[in-house]
Amino acid sequence: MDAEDADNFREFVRSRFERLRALAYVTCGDWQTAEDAVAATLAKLYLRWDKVNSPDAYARSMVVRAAIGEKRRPWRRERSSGDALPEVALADHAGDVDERLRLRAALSRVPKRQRAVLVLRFLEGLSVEETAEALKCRPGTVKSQSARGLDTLRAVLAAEDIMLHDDERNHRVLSH
Amino acid sequence: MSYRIDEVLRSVQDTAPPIHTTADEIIGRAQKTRTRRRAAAGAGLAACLAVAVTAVTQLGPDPATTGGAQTAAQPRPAASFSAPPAAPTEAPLPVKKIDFSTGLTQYQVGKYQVGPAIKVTDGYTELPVYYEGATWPGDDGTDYPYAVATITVYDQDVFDPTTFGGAGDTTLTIGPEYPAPVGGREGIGRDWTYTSPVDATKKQVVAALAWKYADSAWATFLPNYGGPSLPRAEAVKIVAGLKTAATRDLKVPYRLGYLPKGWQAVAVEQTAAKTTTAVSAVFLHQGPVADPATRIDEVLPGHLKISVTRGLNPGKADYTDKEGLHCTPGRESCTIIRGDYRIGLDGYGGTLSDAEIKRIAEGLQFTDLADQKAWAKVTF
Repeated sequence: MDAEDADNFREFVRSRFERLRALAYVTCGDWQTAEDAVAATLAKLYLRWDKVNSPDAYARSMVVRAAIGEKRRPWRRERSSGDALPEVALADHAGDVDERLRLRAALSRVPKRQRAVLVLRFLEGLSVEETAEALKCRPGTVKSQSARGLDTLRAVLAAEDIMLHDDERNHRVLSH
Repeated sequence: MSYRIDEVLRSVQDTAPPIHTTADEIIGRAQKTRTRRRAAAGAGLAACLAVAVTAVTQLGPDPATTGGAQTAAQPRPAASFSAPPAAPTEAPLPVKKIDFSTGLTQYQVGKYQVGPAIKVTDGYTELPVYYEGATWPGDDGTDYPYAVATITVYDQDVFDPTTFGGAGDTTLTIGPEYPAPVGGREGIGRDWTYTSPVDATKKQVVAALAWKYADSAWATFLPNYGGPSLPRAEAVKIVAGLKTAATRDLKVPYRLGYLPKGWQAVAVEQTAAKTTTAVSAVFLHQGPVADPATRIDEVLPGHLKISVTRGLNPGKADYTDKEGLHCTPGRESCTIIRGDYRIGLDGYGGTLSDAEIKRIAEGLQFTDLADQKAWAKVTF
């Protein structure tokens, strides 16, 4: 990699790191794990910088996949504290818990793999086929996982008296 | 309050702590990796194998991620998103041309429509099961029928009924095996129970089946998520209708002008335009797969998939909509835009070079993409 490429890579890291980390966080629910996933992905991207034509698509796909599998890695033994989504939704006894925390808690109830599909489909706006390609799975699996993920989220939010909009066609999954 | 799904997803990003990693740290990490790789390469193949074995041992057995090619029969409702090893681990077999035809035909049982067959491989044929009123919103804005189950009909001696299982996950329990004869022939069933994540007393039960439809020949009925509850008796009634008629070839909207030596088609998918935008797919492979029960899909090690999709604006990824051939170096990928259709060539596992994939793409000789009657039989 020459000096110009290195500068371009640094600029890519500066401009994309925060967004990629946010993407990984929604997927894995842990800021430290998300940062590790992005750093690992970008290090791989650095080694392929002159071969990858679409670094954004490459990074997005690899970050989400890394975020899904990050906690299974043997080198990641330490456990960060404070930044993780709660594994179990907490009851709102006082009735004044911030709405955002309730949304976070609800999202944490969606299994990670289903969450990854929701993130790519509805946050990144990828099609079923593109999501399948990014996650290396079948389009049918994407449909099934997004349907289950949305159903889970809808049910959890309903228990909190929060509705998940169902009116836009992109947000509908199945009807029968 | 009410939210859209994208608002829910965005809301959780609002509490981001400061970033600790710098670009230079990432570059340093990459350079260390490069150094390690070079050292490993210099140490020879034995060292590489040792590293690989250690890595596998440390990760532990994970049937969802370490299987490589998987049997088509295994119910896998919680399919892994971590790709299995991409490259084939065994030497390719000699080319063995496959007949991509089927005698299985469409039929109706109450509100269920079975077929027509949409996929044929060397070992099995797949038929979707649609349910009246169950739809899926396609990327082109059209509501398409949703397959609430899939029937997979295996050739003689291909399916091993002892593999009929599945792991389930936090909201899906796969029940124990029970006898489920179909038309007087041997059959087994397992109930799949979806549990509400909020109220554990709310459950939806759908029956999965495997049955012997002929001597030494089995078929499976596996429900997909999102369909209606499906009791055992109803599932048996649906599969009992399985029937044959005149043989039909599954075809593709092109002929190949170039195919690397030793390569062949191992699966063909053809779907009616009224049921999907993804109308055609062919999986190419170096020789046939060793086990004809192997699931042929996007994670088959070392394949090239040629897909044909109607509509140019399916999402926001960096796809082009400019007419012609577009290849992406280093990604085993070419795209052809032809009218309202996108033809994708996507390699997996690095068994074909970018140049070879481009050559295959350049050699495609198209028929009328919209007229499936004019499509060509797969003879490669």
